[in-house]
Amino acid sequence: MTLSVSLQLSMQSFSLDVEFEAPKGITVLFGESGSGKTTTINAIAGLQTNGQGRITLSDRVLFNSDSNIHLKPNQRNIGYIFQESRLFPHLTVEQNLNYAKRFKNINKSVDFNHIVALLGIKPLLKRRPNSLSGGEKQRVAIGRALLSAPDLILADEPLAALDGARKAELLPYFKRLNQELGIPVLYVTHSPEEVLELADHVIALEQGRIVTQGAAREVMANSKVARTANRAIKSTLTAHLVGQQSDGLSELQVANETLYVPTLDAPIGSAVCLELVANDLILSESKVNGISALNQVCGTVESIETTSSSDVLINVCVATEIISTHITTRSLNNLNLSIGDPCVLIIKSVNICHANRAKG
Amino acid sequence: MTDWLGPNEWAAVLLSIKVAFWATLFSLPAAIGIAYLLAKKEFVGKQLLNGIVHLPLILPPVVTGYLLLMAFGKRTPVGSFLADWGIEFAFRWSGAALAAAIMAFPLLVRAIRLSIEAIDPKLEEAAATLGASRRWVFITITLPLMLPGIIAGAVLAFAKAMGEFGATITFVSNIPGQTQTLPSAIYSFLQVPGGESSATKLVIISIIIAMGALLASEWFSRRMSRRLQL
Repeated sequence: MTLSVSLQLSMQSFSLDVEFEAPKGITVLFGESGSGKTTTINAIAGLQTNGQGRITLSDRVLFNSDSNIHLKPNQRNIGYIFQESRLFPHLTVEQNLNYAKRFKNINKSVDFNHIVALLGIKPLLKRRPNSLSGGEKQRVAIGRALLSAPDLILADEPLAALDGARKAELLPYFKRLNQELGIPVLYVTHSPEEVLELADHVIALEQGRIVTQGAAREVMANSKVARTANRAIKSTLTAHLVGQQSDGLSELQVANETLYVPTLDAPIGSAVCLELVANDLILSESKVNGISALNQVCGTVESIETTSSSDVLINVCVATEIISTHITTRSLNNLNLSIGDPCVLIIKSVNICHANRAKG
Repeated sequence: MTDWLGPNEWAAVLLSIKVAFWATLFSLPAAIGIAYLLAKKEFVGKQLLNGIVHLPLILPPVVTGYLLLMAFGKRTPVGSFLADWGIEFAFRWSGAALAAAIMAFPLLVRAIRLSIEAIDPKLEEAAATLGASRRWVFITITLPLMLPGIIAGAVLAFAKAMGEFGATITFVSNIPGQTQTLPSAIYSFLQVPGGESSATKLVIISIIIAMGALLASEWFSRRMSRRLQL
């Protein structure tokens, strides 16, 4: 079962021009938001109806603008797992799972009990979607798509709405549904971790064009892709709110380091989760005077990872927390840092985000 | 109850219920169709259709009644055509139902349209990817999710139809036992000396029915939307 796509379309401020093949296994469409990933898979599913080109699944033509073939979504036999699960609220979990049965002559190869067991959703069958957690909803959504016995599964950032623990819990299911059920998967994400975890084949998109495609390791090592990927590298750390200052800043404590951030609305003494983007952080040998950044945090170099030919990721240990910063190889050489060396992280207050509270 | 109400008063109450019931039942499918068109489709003349549906809400009811008489009166082309098929509206209880249906129609369409607009079209897309054709998406997803709006609208339309006066009296007059609905009866009792006590009883019944309908409609829609929350 090979999916082959050639698609051109233009909208007001965006144009898409892609051509690729997705062989068996898990193919990941990787790119930042706005790069055209969702538009592409919506076109494959038949939900995006304008555009030029051809989409075929093995020998079945789903879309061909030249011969005016345009199969409706319900005629394509493609399962779609959406970011926001989209379970039907008026049906129970079991009815959601069996929804496709009413319309399709489903062959025996999809076994309800097997899939329910695989996804661990047997205890949920009688419940309604509004009583499920985010992770549970998404597992049911996976099951619903699988039970429609699709020729291909599309997944549009299915883990994006979940917190870290739920993500880790769900990732293996995608591997298993491909390995155990042999259904090809086209998976959309902007998360490099998910790419490395899942992908057999990666297609990197930027502004509606394919930057590069190939095996996961090769694609992620490409400096252009790595730049996109690095933008998504973040560290999280837990701090305690110590006090509110008169100029609107909040004072936080991480181990014995003090951080100042724009007003945080939380009770004094409470723990808050902060998020730092690796690209926003500056690394220095020692504390610097006469600089606008309010926070200078001492730590030691824990590890150094090469992310591309020109840059590296330095993981700095601050008390018990690891903070990653992304710098060029040249800066690393200039600073002459190696593992175990003390260093100072310079962090602008405005770059410190209050991490989203865990959902569902 | 029958002792407390005289036979004429009782007949008016029953007739009103009958008229309101059939008015609501028959206008429901059309209201669902039109609400769906207005909520989901773009077409030439959409604003015009919207205007026509809402017209009975703003026109003086007497005008609506008079227009009905012009359209469905015995000597009009439509009226005589329908009469050949054994369907007569003018001065019949069925005419009262027609008038009530038209007067209640805007309320029905509005409630249903709101409930359609509240449905996330993404759910309908998801249903399509699972193999449901457009018709099946409507039957299995859109229609059940519209249900709170349909019920709320129907209850409201029923109450409106029970209380319709102006268009009804103009179109089908005020014949006791035949076209004398609850409001027409109240009006008649107020015209004769000593009719106040009968009128008062009917007024109380009207208030109870209207309040009951309103509360039931609220209760239904709240219950349903709680159940449907994502």
